[in-house]
Amino acid sequence: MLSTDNVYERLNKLFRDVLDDDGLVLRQDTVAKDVEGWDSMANVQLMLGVEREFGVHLSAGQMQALRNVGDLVSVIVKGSA
Amino acid sequence: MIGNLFEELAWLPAAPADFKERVRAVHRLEAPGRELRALATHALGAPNLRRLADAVGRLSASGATLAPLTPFKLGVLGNGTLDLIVPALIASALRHGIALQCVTVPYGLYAQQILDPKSLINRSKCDAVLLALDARALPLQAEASAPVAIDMVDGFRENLHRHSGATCIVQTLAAFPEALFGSADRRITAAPRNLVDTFNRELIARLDGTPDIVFDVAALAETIGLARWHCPAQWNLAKLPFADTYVPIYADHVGRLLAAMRSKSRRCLVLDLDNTLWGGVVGDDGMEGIEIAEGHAVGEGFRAVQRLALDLRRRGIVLAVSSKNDDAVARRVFREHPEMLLRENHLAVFQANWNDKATNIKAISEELSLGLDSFVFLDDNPVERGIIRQMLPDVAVPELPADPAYYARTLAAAGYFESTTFSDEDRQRAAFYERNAQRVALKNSVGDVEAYYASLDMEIHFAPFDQIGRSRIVQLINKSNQFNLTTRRYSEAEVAALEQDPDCFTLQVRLTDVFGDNGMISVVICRPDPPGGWAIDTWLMSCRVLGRSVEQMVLRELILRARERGISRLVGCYIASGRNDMVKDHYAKLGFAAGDREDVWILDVAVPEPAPTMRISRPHQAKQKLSGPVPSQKQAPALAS
Repeated sequence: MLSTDNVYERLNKLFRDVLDDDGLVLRQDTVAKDVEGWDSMANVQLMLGVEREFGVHLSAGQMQALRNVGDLVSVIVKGSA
Repeated sequence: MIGNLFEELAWLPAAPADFKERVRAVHRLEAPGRELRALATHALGAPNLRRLADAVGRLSASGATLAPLTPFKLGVLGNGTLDLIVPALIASALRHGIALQCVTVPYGLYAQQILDPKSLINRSKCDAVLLALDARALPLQAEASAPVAIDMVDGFRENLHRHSGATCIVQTLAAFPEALFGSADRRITAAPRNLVDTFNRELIARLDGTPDIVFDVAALAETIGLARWHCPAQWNLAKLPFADTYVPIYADHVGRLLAAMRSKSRRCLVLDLDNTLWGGVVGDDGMEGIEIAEGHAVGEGFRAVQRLALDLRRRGIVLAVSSKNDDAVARRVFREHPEMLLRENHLAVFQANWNDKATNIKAISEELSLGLDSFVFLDDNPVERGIIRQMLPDVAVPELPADPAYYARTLAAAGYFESTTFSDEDRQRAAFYERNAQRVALKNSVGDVEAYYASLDMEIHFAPFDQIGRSRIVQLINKSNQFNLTTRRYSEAEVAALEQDPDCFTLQVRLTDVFGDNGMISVVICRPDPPGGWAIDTWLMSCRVLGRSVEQMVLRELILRARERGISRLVGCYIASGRNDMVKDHYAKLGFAAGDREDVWILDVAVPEPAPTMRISRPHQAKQKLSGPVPSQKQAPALAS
């Protein structure tokens, strides 16, 4: 199982790459409206990027239920177990 | 690796570590077009494709010229979400020499845009419009509905011609993996696959006599696998018309088509020989030793490369050879080897020599009056590929996988020779360039090869003969023909005896560089030559590392060790074997003086040793100093005993 720290580290790298923001630091309570450029199309790219990076699949239902980055991290950790 | 050929565009090198910085710096360049193309000529994922597309957008907005790239305005219409595709199209077009500007419309409005004469698409004076429609856009449900769908696409094309004057690029349809009846889906006219087949066939037939172009998405999706291509989750999530993984290859295919429309496709394939057209090194293994036989597991991979080259020649691609080889030795394979498919009459130019390949390819280009941007260079050796990429950046140089069985597929997948038509002129072109394997004289060297080698971070490893290296040492001693001063062959027992002989000095030499470990590349044996000298009994080297000053570093090592042991001179000797012409002047080049006997050369070790041009390591020496002689190690178990 992946460690939460490891997931945050890789997520940060992915989000910085997709959103082209080298200063971005994700936290458990980060939500889309806190981050410049995280619009609906960016969200699609982020979700697809997560699937590729972690080798997991997120169903539309799972995506819909995400409230913040912390939820996303839990889904990744569970999905990769 | 091989499974990801199309997903990762594996014929392109990986993006450099400073990719982002180079994209950011591109606007400061006098001529950013070349740098953009160089940056695009890497395997890029979505974020890097978007970065490049953004850079193109910024440069265009500032009015910068992107010469020598060819400007092209493309309207992009489709029934799915194109937001991920458009940046990839712009970035991938750079790779094919096109500065692309895309005209896009809001999601879902493609039909209105086509039908309204005053729409953005129709007003924009596009050079071409890409109709990115898939089966979901067309009324392909009822029995025999294919003609209705065809008429619809015909109507779109007619409107675009009339209102915008643009050429249309229309897509074939990729069938969905979901079958209705099963195998009979191909036959039953109400089945989705039958409808798609009928549509695709008729669509292509209707393009005859029109300027419009087909983009065979069906072929691309089938090559990848329909179940991978179509991703229901991504369609549902964001109306992505196919899995996002394949956006880079889709965009590269569009780039190829645009280049073909502007006559920018490649026209000449330059081939390396050893381990590219056949297995093995003909200069060392001999004509009988190379692997090219039909039915042979290794040979068949190389035959596939030859077959593809011949097929390309039949459709008008000019073939040439650039190989580090002795001309006569290399040509003999084409003349006499019964299993060769390629013959001299298939080749326009034949450059087998020991000069750098950049100079050779330049000479081929001048001889054929074909620009370097028409060239593709196929070589298994990453160092040679790197030289051409650096010195002749206009030449396309595909990466190759480790397994030669996939060479032909990789070359074909790169799509360098995309063409939208096949004319009589094409059929005759190869004959027009026929020069029957002519040899072209070389002019000045095109660039500083030494500077390139210096960038390879080479490290040379020196060690005396030992048990671990023994089998490879024996193999090299008994196999090397070309860079071999004396061609003395020794048995395994004789080599083992040398390990223990206190009067002899031996060297096994390895070389590593940024591409990895080249393995053992040189072997030297010195015997006492009283009074106070060493006779160089054996000096051989792999031709793969020729020109990288390995000889100078070996000489340096010999001088240093000789001094250490109170040896005053080195005595070299060249014995012509009929196959080692290339080292005839070896000792003269290294500063040895001619001795009193013919082909004997002498160097006083008091001369200054050559300066190091790479890092040097002597692992065994360090170990011996610490703990005395290395105890003989257990033989590694053979795989099959």
